[in-house]
Amino acid sequence: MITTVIRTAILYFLVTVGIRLMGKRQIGDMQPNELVVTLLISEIAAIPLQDTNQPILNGAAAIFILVVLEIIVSVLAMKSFFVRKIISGKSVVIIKNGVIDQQAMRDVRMTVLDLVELLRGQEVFNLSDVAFAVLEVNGDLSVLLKGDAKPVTAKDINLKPDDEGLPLPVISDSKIVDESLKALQTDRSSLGKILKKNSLTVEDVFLMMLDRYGNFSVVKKEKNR
Amino acid sequence: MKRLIPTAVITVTIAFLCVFGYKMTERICNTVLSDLEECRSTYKSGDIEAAIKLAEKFEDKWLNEQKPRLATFANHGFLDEITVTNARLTAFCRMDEAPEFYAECYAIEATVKQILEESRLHSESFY
Repeated sequence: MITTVIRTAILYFLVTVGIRLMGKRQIGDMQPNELVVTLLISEIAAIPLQDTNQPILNGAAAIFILVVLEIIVSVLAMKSFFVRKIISGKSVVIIKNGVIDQQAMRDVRMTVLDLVELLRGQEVFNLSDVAFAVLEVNGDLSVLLKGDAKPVTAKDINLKPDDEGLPLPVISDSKIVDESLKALQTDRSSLGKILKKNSLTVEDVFLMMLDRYGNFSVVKKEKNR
Repeated sequence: MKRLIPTAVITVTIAFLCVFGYKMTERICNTVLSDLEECRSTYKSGDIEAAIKLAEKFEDKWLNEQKPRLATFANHGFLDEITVTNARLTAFCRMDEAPEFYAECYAIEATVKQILEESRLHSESFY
């Protein structure tokens, strides 16, 4: 029993390190090779857990070999268009100049219902609004609307809204986030002044977001019930 | 580049462990086989007392030195099998049960050879 507990903990850390080395990606954003590696890692990690006769090193070596191969392949894919095409495939134009390319849909084995569903996912409910639709290698559909169907932007009506700074969390659960202050090129004393001006202390704040122009929003901490 | 350095480190570590694991398994297995042969030939020569001492020493060495070292690389099922057979080997040696003693010797030999075979790289391993 204790063996299983220790082996599980070791494998948990090994798999976490392996996945971290592969980089951050959501399951839905994975390239085909990344998905294969992730599935294989989860399968391989289960073998030494279920079969305690297997040395844990065998499982760890297999996991790390997959991670190494994945990193090498992604570096090669980054450097070479050819490798990228072989490993990840290429995007396919499904709608071109407002016309559905039926051959392309057959090639990617996509039905009209699939296409309509993917368009709805992009908040497009009328097929005639679409100028171009591209099926990306990760299965997402990118849509370019026709000119008359595009939402109005500030540029269209000659508006010049103020540039918004990126708000960062400077206080999280009553703790000052120094990294955010550094990124905003400010310091604790400036933050203290803002808090004092608004009759607040760090202990009162659950979350405070601040941007580089000094705009902020505060969520006060609830008193303990 | 950020990920390539750990990748290179992992690759080198795994390569080192593969070679080190193979060499260590081979060395320990060969020692086990030669110790077993010594015990068997002593028993065959009729010196039962010396054979018992060798069998006990063999069992002790297996449990305290060889098995823990092999456990990092070899299937634990095989190692447990050798441990159990080893205990029977010593018992049969004490009782002077020749056929059973030789049978246990062959069983240990076969299992050790199986461990060696599994650690070796040959075409059968790939399919």
